[in-house]
Amino acid sequence: MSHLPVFAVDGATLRLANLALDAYAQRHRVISENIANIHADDFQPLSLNFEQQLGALRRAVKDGVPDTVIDRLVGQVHPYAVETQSAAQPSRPSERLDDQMTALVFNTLNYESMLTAVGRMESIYRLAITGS
Amino acid sequence: MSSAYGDLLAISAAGMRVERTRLEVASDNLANTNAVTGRGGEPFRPLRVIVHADAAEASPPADGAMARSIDPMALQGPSAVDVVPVATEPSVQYDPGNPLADGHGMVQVSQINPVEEMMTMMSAVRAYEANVRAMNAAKSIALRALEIGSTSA
Repeated sequence: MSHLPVFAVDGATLRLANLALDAYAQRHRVISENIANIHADDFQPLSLNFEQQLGALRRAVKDGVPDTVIDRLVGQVHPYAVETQSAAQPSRPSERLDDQMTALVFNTLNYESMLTAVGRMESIYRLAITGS
Repeated sequence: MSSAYGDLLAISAAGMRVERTRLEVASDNLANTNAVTGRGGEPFRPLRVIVHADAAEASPPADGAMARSIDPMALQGPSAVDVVPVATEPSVQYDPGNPLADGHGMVQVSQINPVEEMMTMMSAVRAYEANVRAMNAAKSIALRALEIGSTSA
């Protein structure tokens, strides 16, 4: 039974969506930090290391491994922030600000689309229960 | 988890505070253009705002790692601002009618660069705006998250 698509909604897919939503919220935090520190002299812009950690997860999903394995891999993903540039090449605040604003808009859109995806999954699940 | 939107707004609020301080200091500098003091008095010197980055970042790399990993949840925005006077010498001018003038009719006039102050004001206003936008984006993310599970997704 657990390989029926409807029940897959309940498991790893939703967990993956949850992981991405958390990561986007954390990326928003990182971008806000970059914008707030735009005039700090000793600040290097940060970026969130998240997509780089998804390689094993992507392969597992592609190979169709069981949900339990995917759950374990999801548990291993921990987004963290890193400094993006070397101190040898500091960029001017005006150059940083527009990049950060672009990233902000992009990240907000990502969050919104992921939420929409979760909503769609939920309606599939509801359809499976009610049949209408 | 990352549901702590209160301190997410706090990052942008700290950034707005910094930009407001820069704006106030630039206004103060402009307002004191041509401030006159008597010889030997303490002249007005233009002030500069020094912004210090988040304390979480100022810490040195842990165990010699090349790139430090920082917990996004620990970010708090700029930690502190210092307002420091710039060591410029006031120009000494001849103004015998001034009640502050010394025996030779000389007074000290503060040296303010209005172009520099205007540039500071401009960049402060723009950066403030950027912080407001980040805060609005956080708000819309938080409000959208409340819609999870509602029927009209």
